[in-house]
Amino acid sequence: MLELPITDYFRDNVLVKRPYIQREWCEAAVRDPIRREVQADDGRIRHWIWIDALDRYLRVVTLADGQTIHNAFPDRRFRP
Amino acid sequence: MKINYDAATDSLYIHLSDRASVDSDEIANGVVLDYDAAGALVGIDIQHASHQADLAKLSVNCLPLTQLDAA
Repeated sequence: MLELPITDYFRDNVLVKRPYIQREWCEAAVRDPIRREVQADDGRIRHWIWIDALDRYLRVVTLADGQTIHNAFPDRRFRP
Repeated sequence: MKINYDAATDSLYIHLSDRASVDSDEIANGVVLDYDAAGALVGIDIQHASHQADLAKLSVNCLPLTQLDAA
């Protein structure tokens, strides 16, 4: 399966600063999220997935195309 | 400290140190703080940065700088 595209910001900042975040987690979140929400202000899309290794939900934000990964971080406040 | 701005997505990352983050917390919509293993703040992730900060001006006062790079 082809890797999803990523933004320069995700490559140069998010993955650099949060090296524990695995690209495959982000891909799984986008492809099979437990919830998906469109951000009202910009059309970017939030996807959540449970990550056992983090013992947390991971939020992955794509651009409005729903494919290009732009941000990802453990979401302490997410409740499914 | 390093400040990176991505104009294509209007995203700003302030690397307070080179240390990696092990945990993060969204403190406001579009603002995520990153912490190292000791719980120290190591970075600030700001989305829609031009709406949250004045990106046209940067003032630096009394920092003990030994190197300044601008790109």
